[in-house]
Amino acid sequence: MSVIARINEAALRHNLRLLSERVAPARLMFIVKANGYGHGCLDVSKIAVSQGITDLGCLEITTALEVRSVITDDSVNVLAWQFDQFDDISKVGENHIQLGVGNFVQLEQIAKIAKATGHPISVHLKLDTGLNRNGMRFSDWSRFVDFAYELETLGALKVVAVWTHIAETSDEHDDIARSDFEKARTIAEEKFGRKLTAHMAASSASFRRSEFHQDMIRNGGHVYGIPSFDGTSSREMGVIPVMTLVSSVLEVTEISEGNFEVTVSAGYLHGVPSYVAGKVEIAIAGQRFEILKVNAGTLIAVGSTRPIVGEEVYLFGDETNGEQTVREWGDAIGTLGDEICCRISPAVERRLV
Amino acid sequence: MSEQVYRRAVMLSEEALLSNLEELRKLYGNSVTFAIPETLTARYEDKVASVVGSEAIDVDGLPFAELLGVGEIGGLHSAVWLRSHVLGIRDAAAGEGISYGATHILEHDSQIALAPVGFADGIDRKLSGSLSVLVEGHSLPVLGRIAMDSISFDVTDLTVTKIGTTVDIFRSESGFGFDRASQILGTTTAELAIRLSERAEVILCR
Repeated sequence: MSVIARINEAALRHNLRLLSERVAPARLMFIVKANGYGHGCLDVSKIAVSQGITDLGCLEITTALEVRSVITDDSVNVLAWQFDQFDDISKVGENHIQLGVGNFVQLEQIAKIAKATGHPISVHLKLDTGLNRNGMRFSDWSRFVDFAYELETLGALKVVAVWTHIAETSDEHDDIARSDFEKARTIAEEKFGRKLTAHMAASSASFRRSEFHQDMIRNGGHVYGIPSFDGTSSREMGVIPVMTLVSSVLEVTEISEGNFEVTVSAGYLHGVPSYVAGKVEIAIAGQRFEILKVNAGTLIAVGSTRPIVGEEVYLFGDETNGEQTVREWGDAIGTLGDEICCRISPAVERRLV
Repeated sequence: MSEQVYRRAVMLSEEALLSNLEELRKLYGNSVTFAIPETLTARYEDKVASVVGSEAIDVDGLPFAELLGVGEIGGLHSAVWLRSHVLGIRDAAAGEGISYGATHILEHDSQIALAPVGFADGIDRKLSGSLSVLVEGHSLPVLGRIAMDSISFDVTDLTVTKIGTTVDIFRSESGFGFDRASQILGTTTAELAIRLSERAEVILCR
């Protein structure tokens, strides 16, 4: 293959250790959706669990079941939350998959399947605090909690957590969200008569604001070494980018004295967005080359040293070989490093190093 | 018969493939062939071959994007788009924001639907604020930021929309096909269409 995504296991372990210690005693739920942000969901899940992570966030039922097939230890919690009546949840209970629920229809769906299978399902009750996506509105929260309580009494489910997903509009808005969330948590804990795991912060808030830690935080981007907020680099944060995208030199032409045009065996088919042209640089033998054009299977870059055909090309990574980070690529093209990583073609080999 | 509901699928139109093949044969002769890139053969080759014949696929052929109608040759029909469905509908109040950063604020009390597709599916995040999707024949603007795995839109005026209702993205009938998207992003239609959700199954449809 002309492009390889190297997945640096030591970097992943380092990031998990650093971020976990930073939020302790809160737990870190590692988000492995979208094929582990393009890094390879099952590999990163296994590494994280061996590093002591006890919670994996999977988004979808199918992903959660795949993760459970390699993480058989039931004490590791595997959570899915994006589902509706068209998803088959019949294997969820017996496989100890937890479900995030944010509406009455989902609770009814769970009750029905639990009755049919005889396996109660552990749930995280979700409050909406401004995203307007998939949580219960605060005004309906008590009714929602009452219904969940009723279903728990019937043996259909067990409520293990309350959560929300903040909108990150501003610190001020997020503070209002936190206040609502704390109220919602109290309502639920009083109803159930026990403490529930509370979690609301994702990468950004969990790193910057300790008052958002509660019992657990959810981290995706940061664990992969991609800073989620402005004004910082991976290095400043202390995280190491986990993915390094490597290709090779296909052709070299001296276009004028001391200026070389290099054809590299990586193109948009592999996941290099064509609009990085003119905006980012790649590294060959420690020297930077500016990308001029991205074609389907190749890209053209220019620089002032003569590379050797077949030599390794570092597109983005952890800077060890003089390359930019994926966060820098994201900044250059006005998006998140997360988007670039999760769009690396599945045909590109993920190689654990 | 109710329509099949997909979480995410790359729809491949048999009709468009055949009409493009016919047009391209007029331009390049009956023996014109198309090269499916190595990264896509596993997903596309069998399905495309079942429509246009395996003899029309060859490594030395025209770019695959031309057969899909998303290349550089004009007058063809886009044969692919992304399909999802309404996963949830919620009430939201005037003044509330939608998605991260609340870049869209609702002017009226609304019913907001969510489809489980996002930038991980090739719905480029930079299309936030401009993308429209096709729901029951209506072109609906996607509100707020496109997230990794979800987009939201207002279905207040669509009385029959429910969980399971089909949502088509980048379908030319929506008025927001690959041509519009590529103009906004400064890229080619081929890149967007060919790199459409690679985690989605390719579904051949009539």
